[in-house]
Order: sequence, then structure tokens, then C-alpha cells
Amino acid sequence: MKSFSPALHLLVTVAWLWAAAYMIFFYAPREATMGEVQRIFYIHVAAAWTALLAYFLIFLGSVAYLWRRSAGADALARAAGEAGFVFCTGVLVTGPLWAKPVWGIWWTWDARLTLTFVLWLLFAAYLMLRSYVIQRDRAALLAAVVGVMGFVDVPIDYMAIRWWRTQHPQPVIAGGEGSGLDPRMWITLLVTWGAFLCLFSYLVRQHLRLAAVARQTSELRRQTAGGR
Amino acid sequence: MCNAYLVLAYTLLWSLFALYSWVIHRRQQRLENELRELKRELGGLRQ
Repeated sequence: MKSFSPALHLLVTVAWLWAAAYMIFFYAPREATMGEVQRIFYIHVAAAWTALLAYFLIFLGSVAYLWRRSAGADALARAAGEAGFVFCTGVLVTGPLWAKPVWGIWWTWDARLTLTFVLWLLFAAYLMLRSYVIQRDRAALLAAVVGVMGFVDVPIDYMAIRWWRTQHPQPVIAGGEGSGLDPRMWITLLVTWGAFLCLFSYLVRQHLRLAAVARQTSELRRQTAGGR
Repeated sequence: MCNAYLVLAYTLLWSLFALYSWVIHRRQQRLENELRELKRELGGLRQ
């Protein structure tokens, strides 16, 4: 099957993001207690789910690298790491902007917020390792170890609001009795997450392409240096 | 006042996405130019 071109992928992503924005502002109902500011929910939650998925991909890529020394798995983990870092940063930016008008504070060190901050630090540590260790195989190996060990944070972060009483709102999705969302809010959230996943896959794909060109370039550099 | 937070959240998130997409695009362009340059150089060395 022929994969669709990056240009078409980008076009679909932009169109989907526009559709999501339209639904957020014109289709989803206004939340009764928080008012307009609650619309941050759609991008905040969708970015958080995407960041968790990104770390899961790092975990899978890292396990595959440690097991088989697969360069492709390592490249996937690195691409997911960079894009995931962007989404996780988005979560930490939009969260306080929603918290301030609703809670009256920008930040509190409760379980969910702290674990999300730890996730952001793990993304940062993963990427820093990749950049600062010069020897490629060694960097890949160390990053894979961080990728596997850091994954412990992901399920705990996801479950934090179910296990502990936190400042962060209790789950509206799979949160048990009394929790739930208006069906229009649900659809809007899913459309927004779909758009973010489309963007995430585009960014990962572009990063993989970038890695392929980088490999070709370093190979040619070696050949050129040898030919002189 | 609340709407200012909403606008800021959306503006910052879209800017973040746009910035990262642009950074990747620039890195790709730079590497592709270098690749072209190296291919030309290697072609010259072989002749």
C-alpha cells in the first residue's frame, strides 16, 4: 500500500485541527460552573493523552532496541520523544492557565500535577541524553534504559486522580459513578484528540525522515573524507 | 478575564506546535542542502 505524502498528511492535519477548533468554540456547550474557560479542557486533555501515548512509544521503541538493537525502533523512540516533549510542554502550559481562574492558583504540588511534571522531566532527560552523549550506540543504549525505567511514571500519572484525592479534577472518563461528560463534549474531545494524534504522527514521520537524511549525510561525509 | 486565559492557552499551544513544525522543517532543509552538497563533492572526487 502506498503511504500518503507528507504534504497531504499536513493538509489533513491542518483541516482536522480547524474542525476541532470549530467544534470546541461553536459545537461544544458552555460549561455551567466554569464558563468559557472550561474550553481549555479539550486541548489540555488531548495533549495529555498524546504525551502519555508518546512515552508509551518511547517505552516500546526502547524495549525493542534493548532486545534486538533495532535502529528503526531507536529512531521511532527518539522521534516520539521529541514530539511527546512538545505535547507534554503544552499540558504544563495550558494546565496553569485553566487552574488560575478556576482554582485561584497557577500550580500546586498535588499527585497528578507533580507526576506530569516528572513526565516532562523524563522527556527532557531522554532528549538531553540523546544530544550530549556523542557515541551514537552508547546514547541509544542509555536513552533506552531511561525510556524503560521512566515508563513507571506513566500508569501512576494516569491513575493518580483515581488513587488519591487531589486538587486536580476527578476523572470524567472511566471515573465511576457520578462522573461523565455531555455527549457533545465527548465528541468534541475525541475529535480534538484525533487531530492531535494526526499532528503527532505527522511530526514523528517528519522526524523519522530527518533521521534518515542525517544518516545518509553522515555516510556521505565519511565517504567524502575517505576520498580526499 | 477568563476569556483572556482561554485565548492565551490556545495561542501558546498553537504557537508551540507551529514552532516545532518549523524547527523540524528547517533542520530537514539544512540537512538536505548538505546532502546535495556532499553528493556533488563526492561526484567531483570520483571524476
